[in-house]
Amino acid sequence: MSTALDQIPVGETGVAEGSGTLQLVSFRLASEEYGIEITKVREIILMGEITRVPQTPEYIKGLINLRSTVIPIVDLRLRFALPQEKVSDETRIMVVNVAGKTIGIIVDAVNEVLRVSQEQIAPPPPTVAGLGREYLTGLVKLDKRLLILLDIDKILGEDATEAVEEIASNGK
Amino acid sequence: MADVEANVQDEFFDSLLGDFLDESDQLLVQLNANLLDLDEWAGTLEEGEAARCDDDLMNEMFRAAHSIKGLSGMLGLDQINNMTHKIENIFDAARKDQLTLNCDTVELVFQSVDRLGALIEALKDPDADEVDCEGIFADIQKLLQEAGVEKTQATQADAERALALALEEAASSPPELSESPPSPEPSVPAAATVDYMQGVVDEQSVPAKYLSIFIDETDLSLDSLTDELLALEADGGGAADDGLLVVSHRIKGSAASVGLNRPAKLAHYMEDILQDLRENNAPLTAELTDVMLKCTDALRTYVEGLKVNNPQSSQFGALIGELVEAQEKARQSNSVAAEPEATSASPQADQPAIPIDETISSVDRTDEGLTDELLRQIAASAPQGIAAFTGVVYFDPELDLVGLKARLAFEKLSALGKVFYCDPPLEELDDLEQLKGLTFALSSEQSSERICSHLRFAGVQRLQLDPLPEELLQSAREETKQPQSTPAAVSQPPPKVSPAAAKKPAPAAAEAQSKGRAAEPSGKPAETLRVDIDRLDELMNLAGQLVINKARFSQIGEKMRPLIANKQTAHLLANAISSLEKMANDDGQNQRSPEANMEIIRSHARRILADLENVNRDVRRFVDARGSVSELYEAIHQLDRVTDGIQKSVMDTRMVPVGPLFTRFKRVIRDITRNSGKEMRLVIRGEKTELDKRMIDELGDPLIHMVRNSADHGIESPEERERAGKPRQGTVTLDAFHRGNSIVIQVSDDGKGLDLDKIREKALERGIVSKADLDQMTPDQMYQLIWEPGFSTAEKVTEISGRGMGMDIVRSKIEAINGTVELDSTPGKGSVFSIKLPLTLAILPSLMAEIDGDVIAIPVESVVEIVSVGSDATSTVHGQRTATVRGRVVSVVQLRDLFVWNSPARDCDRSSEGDDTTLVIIGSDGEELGLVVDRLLGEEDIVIKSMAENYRNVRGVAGASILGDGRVSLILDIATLIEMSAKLDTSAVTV
Repeated sequence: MSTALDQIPVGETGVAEGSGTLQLVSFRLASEEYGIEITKVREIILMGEITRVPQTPEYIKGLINLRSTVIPIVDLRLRFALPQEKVSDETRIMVVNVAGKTIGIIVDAVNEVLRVSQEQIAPPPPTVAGLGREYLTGLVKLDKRLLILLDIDKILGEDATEAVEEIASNGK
Repeated sequence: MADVEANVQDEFFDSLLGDFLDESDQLLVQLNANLLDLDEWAGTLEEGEAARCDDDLMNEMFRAAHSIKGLSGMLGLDQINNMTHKIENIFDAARKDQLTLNCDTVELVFQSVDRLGALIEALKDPDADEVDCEGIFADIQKLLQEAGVEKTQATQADAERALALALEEAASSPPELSESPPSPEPSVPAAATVDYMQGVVDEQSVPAKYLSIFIDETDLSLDSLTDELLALEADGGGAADDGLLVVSHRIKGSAASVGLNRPAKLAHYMEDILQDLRENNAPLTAELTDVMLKCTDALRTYVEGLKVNNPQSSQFGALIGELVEAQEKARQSNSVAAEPEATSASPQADQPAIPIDETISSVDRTDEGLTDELLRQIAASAPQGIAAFTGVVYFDPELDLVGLKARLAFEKLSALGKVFYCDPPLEELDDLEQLKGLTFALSSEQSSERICSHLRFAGVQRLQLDPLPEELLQSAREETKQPQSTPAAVSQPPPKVSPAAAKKPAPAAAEAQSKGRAAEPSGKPAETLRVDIDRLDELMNLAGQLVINKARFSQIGEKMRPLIANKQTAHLLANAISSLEKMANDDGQNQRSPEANMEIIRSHARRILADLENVNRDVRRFVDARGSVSELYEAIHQLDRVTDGIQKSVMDTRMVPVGPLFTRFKRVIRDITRNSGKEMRLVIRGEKTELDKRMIDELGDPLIHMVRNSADHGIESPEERERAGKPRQGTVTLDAFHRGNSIVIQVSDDGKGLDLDKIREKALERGIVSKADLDQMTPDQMYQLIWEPGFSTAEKVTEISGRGMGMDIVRSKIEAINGTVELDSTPGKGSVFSIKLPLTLAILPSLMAEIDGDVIAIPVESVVEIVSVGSDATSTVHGQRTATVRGRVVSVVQLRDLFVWNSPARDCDRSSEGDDTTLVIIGSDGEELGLVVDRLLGEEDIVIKSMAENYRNVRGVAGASILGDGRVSLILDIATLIEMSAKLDTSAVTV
């Protein structure tokens, strides 16, 4: 059911292990490639049945049972206002630790584990505006690709206030 | 290095502090409970009447205060120490009749105990305000001075000091009772040991529950004592550290607090010596360590004995002797020059203490001498009218066939008179390989000289013979008249049971009867174990998972059943095969059609036949598999039972009686009585009802609020009550009982009931409801307004009820533990708050239903009934669908109207309009709602999983649960759902 992290191909970036390096798990969402620090990722599982939950923002797909613990699932496509896509063979749920909580995020595919050095990370350009801007901590420049570094802690962070507002408006 | 040491000490101190807090909390609770009794007693006194209070009560309180004093002193908590000291003084003066107790005195003690509680609380919270004690101190001082008993010393301390002095004298003067000249026998002070334990007797009826706590604690303490001693020894002696001192003090304290004075005494000596060593910066000598270890062993044997109701404390006296001796020796070696005369005063001190290689049992046998208990026991069985002697024949340590010699001694004694006590008993003598001495009791006309001369034969090293004291005989005879006296001891196997101890086990009932006290069951005390509640939570969680897994297995089993081809299929297959076989082997005797054609058919048939045979084999295997499946079924059933058992046991582990929680409110009521001038009492019922520990913890605050509410707002003043024809004294009742699958806790009063006018007024003033709505409300609906946020019926915010916690918070606190609270009030008769709680926090019996493709759990306790209504029974009122169910009109709601879903329903094979609708009538707070469900799936015990753990709470959803197939289902929060539907109702707009 779950894919162990070490089964993910390890990308070669030619960076030696050192103090300034960062290990990332990269994944694909729509046509873009993202990276999350490996220390935040607990495991990667296949899509299963998700129980929907009322009174939540759209991107909260619902709850699943992760070995007897109930965790919420965030649809990153919906979170970043990307068009919906059918679940494919490559769709995965990444179980990540966020601010003391465990959540699952749906991604289109998990690519690899790679090591990057701090020099390879650039701040996000101001031109990347709009939705999702606040979740980005930087861009990683690889040979031919560009990796978007995601600040996963912010994924759930905001929705508490949003949800409260939503409920308040429901009540009326 | 010094830093490290300081850290270690800090850690040590912290752990001690934890222990102290733990223990003092319990002691405070006990003190408070006792004070309430005292208060009641003082209340019954006429003005100016001087009466004597129950001694037991006084002693118990003194002990509690003393224990806190001792512990706090040890930890250097001066303020607490001071306060307890003062409180202790009051109790002490009272029990010595130097102080007359009256209501004011009791009040003063109450205040002091409160202050003490505050001081201890302040320890837990470093930011707490400084607790001012000076006023109280002055008051106590004044009280005691008026009574003329102000002292500078605690009397207990005085007594202890006096005792210690007396002991030193006893230890340093040569033993007078010994007939033999001073010899190198190490345990010479045996005769003197009688004095150490003189008059120290264990209390005879220790309640089993305290006993088990004592056993539990002391076991731990003894472990650490042994550890520390061994560690010290391994380090080659050195200074005794505070740990030893603290542990021995703790043993002393806990023993004394349950009335086991003998072990307390022994521990006290150990503590004294350690204290002495610490003060003099003296090292713990090897001898002392040895003796201490021996004491530890003796205590352990004693505690083990307690577990089977047969404590052995007879060697304590001898051990104290050894302790004193070893200490003396240590002191001498420390200051040989300083105290030369001490050496001459106690020549034995130069001798080594008892060799350590001796087993405990031999220490038992020989070194005890004749303790007071033993003497008394002997006296009890002494024949009347003849002079009685007790004595010990000491044999050479290297003597062979000592058993025979002992027998010889016994026979010689028998010739002189009647031997009515012998230890070891006669039957055991032959088998003994090692024996230091034979203890005997003899009644004889002969003189003691004559007896001695008879006993001097080869192998006898020393003799000791004393006449049995007359007063002992006298008192013993009186005791013999009582039915529970110990049986004659002659042939009793090791008669080391002291009279006190002997009385404890079986005759406890008789004891209790004679004392007129409720008897604790005299079986062996239950052993207890302290467990971190987090571990229990974890266990509970695991048990919950097991329940889920079990459900999953059941489902798998259920699924497999129809999958297995049944016998009939196999049969049919066999038939088909046999007919095909016939066909295939038909070699065509009546060949009318072309042969070639026939051959083709035959070959086809053969091929089919071969295939079918394979299939047949498979089917047969399936039939075999049926057996396995039913085995699996069996196993699942087994698992079912075991899982239920585990779940139940784990639940039971967490269950504690509600009694102690209820008892806390006695004090609340008492305070209100004092402050308000009302008269009332608290009646407690069902205190044995058990609740989950976590729930008990959570219930404290809401209950206090309700009790205060009842007492403060419900109960009228005595005059008002008299006018209403009610007794002057009001009653607040706390009750707990089981009802169905839940536990109900009720707070009721016989006061005036809720004031409807005031509620109305307040509700309008606070803008909780509109005037129009209010006019339409029934009284019952109006009562429910008190649950609204910001509502308080008190005319003025009193010190008692106005502590900010509104009834809405009470309610949410109870709902947080999955409980519900209801209110019922009758004008002039009083009001009743009923808290309904699930039996456990984690498992919830639920009705499973399918709504819009989702599996939803509805807590069974909220389900009123399930009905199926036709379209003719439903109508629309103000755009809201309603149904008539048995004459009641119930509004009908669809879950999708209440909830906002962000994703479409799974599938919509809902029954078409016009068909009957299944309604689950759910109710809370007397309000009902008909929830439309598509399909009922049945009842299930589900495990509640928190959604907030990894996400957050969702309005209308009480939590999530994992179904047997691993899916997650939502549990509805009925109360909120009804609330949501009411909002829907009033706005008459669908979201």
